[in-house]
Amino acid sequence: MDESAFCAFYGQTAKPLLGYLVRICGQRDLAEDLCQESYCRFLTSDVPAMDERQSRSYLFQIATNLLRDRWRRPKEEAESEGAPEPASHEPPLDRKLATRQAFERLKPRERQLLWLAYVEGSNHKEIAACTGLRAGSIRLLLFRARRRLAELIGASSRTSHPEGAE
Amino acid sequence: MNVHDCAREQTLVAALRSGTLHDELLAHAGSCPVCSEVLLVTEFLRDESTALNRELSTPDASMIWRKAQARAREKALARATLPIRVARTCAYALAILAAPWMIVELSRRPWGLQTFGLARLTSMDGAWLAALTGTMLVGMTATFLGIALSSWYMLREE
Repeated sequence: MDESAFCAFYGQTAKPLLGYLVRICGQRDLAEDLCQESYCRFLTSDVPAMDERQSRSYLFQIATNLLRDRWRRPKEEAESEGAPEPASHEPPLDRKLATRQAFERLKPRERQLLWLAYVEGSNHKEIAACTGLRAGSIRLLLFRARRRLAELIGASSRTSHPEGAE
Repeated sequence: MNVHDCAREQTLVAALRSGTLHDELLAHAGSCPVCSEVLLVTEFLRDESTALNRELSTPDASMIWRKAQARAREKALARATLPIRVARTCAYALAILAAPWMIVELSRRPWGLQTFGLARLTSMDGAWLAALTGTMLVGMTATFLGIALSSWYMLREE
């Protein structure tokens, strides 16, 4: 890949990748570091030529692996880097904030699956390659994560807009 | 009906992604519990993604390109110097292993080439080939083989 091709690829994928990392790890600084590292590893990897969709999938796979490595680090080290803000259980004022907090209450793995499936539009095979899970188990895991998020969104909507309140 | 998924789930997600959600599919989503859930979750996540895209700023592509190029050079250098590092490590290991023997030998005998059986080399009188013992030949062969292999390893990708 030459520099101009990379710039075009970067223009298409940088924000989606950064958004994915921010939403999954919950720390913007860490997400930015991981995003840059993902591109560096992508460029220095010895892989055969891929089409755009495969390249995008491979990039997300690198980023997901980096995230996983970060989670495996000893707890003390992770804490010194600044843990993500825990989701508040107080009723939020704003509906958007409420739904965002609902998403943050999901497990990282659930957030990954939902983001890849419904924002990135990845199929089960691509999600399996990206997350290291078995392709056969994606359907059920995705269903559970989706159900949980729908419940949390429903609950947060009820708390931010209680019945009778305008 | 399967409670986990619906045959039209992927069509719905694709339509939402491309912004081509037509009335018939929307009506289906209204009656199908799986698709209504998919619709709710996908719309929420896409709103999140759009909001994030507006908020986030990414570094310059050329900066990342340069960083990756520098790292690729470092990787190539590390690969090229691997035989040198291996040889150096082997040399250190041999030196450490041979040191006790050397100390014992040197403390027992007076210093001089004769004590090592290399007296013939000092004369250089034309009959020096006679000094080539089997051990020396093996050593020289190993050295040339090492040089050849190292050269091949370093130059194979050039």
